[in-house]
Amino acid sequence: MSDSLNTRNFIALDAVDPTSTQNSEAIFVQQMLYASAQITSGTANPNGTLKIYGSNENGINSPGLGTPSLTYWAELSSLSATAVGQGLAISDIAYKWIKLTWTDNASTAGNITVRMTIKGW
Amino acid sequence: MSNSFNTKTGAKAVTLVDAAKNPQYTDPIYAENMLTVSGSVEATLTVGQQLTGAIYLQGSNELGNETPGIGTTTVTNWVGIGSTLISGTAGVVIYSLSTTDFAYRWLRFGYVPDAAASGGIEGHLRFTIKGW
Repeated sequence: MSDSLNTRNFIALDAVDPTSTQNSEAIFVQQMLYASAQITSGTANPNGTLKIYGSNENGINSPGLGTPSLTYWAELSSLSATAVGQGLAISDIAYKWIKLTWTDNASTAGNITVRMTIKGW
Repeated sequence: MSNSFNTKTGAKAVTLVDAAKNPQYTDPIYAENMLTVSGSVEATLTVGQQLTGAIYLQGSNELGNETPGIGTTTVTNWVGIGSTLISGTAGVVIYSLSTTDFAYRWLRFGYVPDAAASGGIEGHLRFTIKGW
């Protein structure tokens, strides 16, 4: 824990194919309260659903060293996205891990990149 | 980051009457460490002036400038977080928009005048952002 706000801005889905289902890695958020995800660039015209899920599985004992493989996820928020630039945000995150998923509806060929910001203490 | 409360205020002069409805935005404001933001459009109207328009708050997770505060930042894609319509006919007018759960890296406020506005009104868009 820290006395000042901890933040992180990073790429969650890096130039991925929006015509296929995409999943980010599990993101450790046990000390985070806010998260946002935005399609910040891409060559495709995205048309699908961006979702944020949360999990309370233990995952790995040392978050940051290795990638956990988690099975059970609860849906926290959803956005029907039809263009680069769209995004969603959540607050009061109460889970240990979150992940981002993209499910295609009618995207064109190409790629999209989704960046996230998370904030907490 | 710091152990004390961080706050920042700023202002942008805005033209509150524009038949072409051209939007006016603040520069991108680095807000990764900020949670609470508010923006107000303020003007003093005389008799015969009419103000109508909308104030917007937007956020972005684009990387922008890797060293915010040094150099100019260009951010292309913005997510709408909130908006409010404003209108007034005479006297001191102030309309505000705020959020307490700002989750993006950059923010900007915008004002879009409505064609119904009249009277050559000048005003300001002022903001305050707070975090740690």
